[in-house]
Amino acid sequence: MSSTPDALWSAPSLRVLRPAAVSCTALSRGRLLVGCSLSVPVGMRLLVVGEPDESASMLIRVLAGLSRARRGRIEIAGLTDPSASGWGRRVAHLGPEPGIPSWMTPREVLGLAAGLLDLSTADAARRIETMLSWARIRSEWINRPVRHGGPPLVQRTALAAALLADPEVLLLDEPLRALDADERSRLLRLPGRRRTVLLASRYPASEVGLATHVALLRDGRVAMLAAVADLQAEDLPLSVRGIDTLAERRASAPPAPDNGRPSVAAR
Amino acid sequence: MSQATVVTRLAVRELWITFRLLALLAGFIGVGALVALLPAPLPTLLERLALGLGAASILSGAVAAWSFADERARGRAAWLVTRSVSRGTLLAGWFAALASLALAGTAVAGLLGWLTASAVSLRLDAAAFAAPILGVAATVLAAIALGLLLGTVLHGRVAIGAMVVIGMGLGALAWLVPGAADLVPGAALADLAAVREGAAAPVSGMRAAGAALVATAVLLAAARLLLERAEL
Repeated sequence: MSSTPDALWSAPSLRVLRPAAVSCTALSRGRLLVGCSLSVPVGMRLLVVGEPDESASMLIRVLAGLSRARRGRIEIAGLTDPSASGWGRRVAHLGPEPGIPSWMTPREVLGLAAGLLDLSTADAARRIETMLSWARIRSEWINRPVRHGGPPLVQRTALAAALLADPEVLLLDEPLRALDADERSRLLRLPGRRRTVLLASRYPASEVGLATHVALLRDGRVAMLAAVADLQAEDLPLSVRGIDTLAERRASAPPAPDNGRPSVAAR
Repeated sequence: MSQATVVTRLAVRELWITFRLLALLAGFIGVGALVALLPAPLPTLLERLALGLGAASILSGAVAAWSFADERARGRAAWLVTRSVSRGTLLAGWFAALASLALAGTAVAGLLGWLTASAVSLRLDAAAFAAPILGVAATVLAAIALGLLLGTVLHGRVAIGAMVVIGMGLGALAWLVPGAADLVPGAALADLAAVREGAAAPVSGMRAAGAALVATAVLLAAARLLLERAEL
C-alpha cells in the first residue's frame, strides 16, 4: 500500500537528506497547542511527552484529524490533503479507545478495514492472515465478537487493523495499555526502517526501547527535541523528570555548533 | 462498495445489535396496528394515526440523536475517520440508514391506516389520504436530521432530551396554531388528522411536505458544518 518502497528510503542520498514524514507549523488548539511547530524525519520513532499531559495526546489527535486545529498547517509525506487521495491512507492512528464495535469479530474488523482501503480480495485475505498472526490473536478468538476477549483482544485487533495498510506514519496515543508490558513492547517494536512513529505517552519510562527521539511539549510548543541517546549521555532516565531536566540543561547551555546531524527541527 | 454504503450497513447493524432498529420499526408499525385494532369513527381514527405518527417521528429523532452521540462517544466515528472516511460520508451513511428504516415504518403504518380508514369510510379519497402521509414521511426525515444535528453537538442523554422537547414543541405549535402550521415541519400531521370523507387532496399537505424537506436539508447542512468542527 505504501507508495515509497524501503529500497528508496534506504538510498544513501535520502539517508542524508531525511525528508520530513510529518511536519506541522504553528498549530494552535486551545491552551494545549499554541503555535506548535515540529518536523519529524522519515523513520524517526518519536516519543511525545507533554506538560500538561494532554497536550501530547492533542497533538496526535490533531495530526490524525480527530480534533481540529484552530490555526496552523499539517504536511504528511509532503502532502497537505488529508483525504484518501492525499495522505489519508499513508497514516494510521491508534488511540486509548480503539473504537471498534464490540459485536464485530477480529476477522470482521480487519475485513472492514481492508474494504475501506479498497484492497483486492486476495491481497486483503493475505494481509488479514498476516496481521492476525502477527498480533497473536488466537484462532479461537478470530471469529468471536471482540467483547468476549476483553480490552486486550480489542487493542490487539485495533493495532492489526491500523497496520493492515502498511502505513508510512503511525500515530499512537497511549496505545495497548491493556496488554502486559512485555507483549506491549513486542507489538510496538514495529518493523520497517522507513516507518515513522509518533507515540504520545504520559509514562515515558514504559516506552524504553520504543523511541529513538523524544519531544517535550511545554505550554503548547515544542520545548525540546532530542535523541534518546542524549538522555543516556547525560545519565538521565527516560522519564518526565529526566526529559524535563535535559530540556532545562539545554535551555541554559550556549548554542551548540552544527554537528552535521540530520535535521530534527523544533521551531 | 462505496464508503457511504459501508457506513450505512454498519449503522443498520449497530441499530440491530442495540435493539434500536426494533424500537424504531415497532414505533411506526405499532401505531398502524393500534389504529387497526381499536375501532373508531374516521375523524377519531385519523387523529390517533396522526398523533401516533407524530410520536414515532420524535422517537426516530431520539434514536438518531442517541445513536450518533454514542457513535462519537465510543470512538467508532473516529475509527472510521482515521480510515479516510470523511465526516460528511459518516453523516450521510447514518442518515441513509435511519431514513430508510423510518420510511419503511411510515409506509407500513400508512398502509395499515389506509386499510382501516377505507374500511370505515368507502368515500375516502386515496389521494387525500396519501398527500398528508407523504408530508408525514418528510417530517420523519426532518426529525432524523434534527436528531443527527443534536447528536453531533450534545452527549447521548442530553441529545435525546433536547430532541423530545423540540419535537413536542413543534408538534404542539403545528397542532395548536393552525396559522403557523404550514411553516412548521409537523403541519402534515394536522393535515392528516383533518382528512374527511369526500374531500380532495389538500394543497397544504404538499406544502407541509416541502417545508419539512427544506428543514431536512437545512438541518443536515448544519449538522455537516458542526461535525467538521466536532471532537471525535
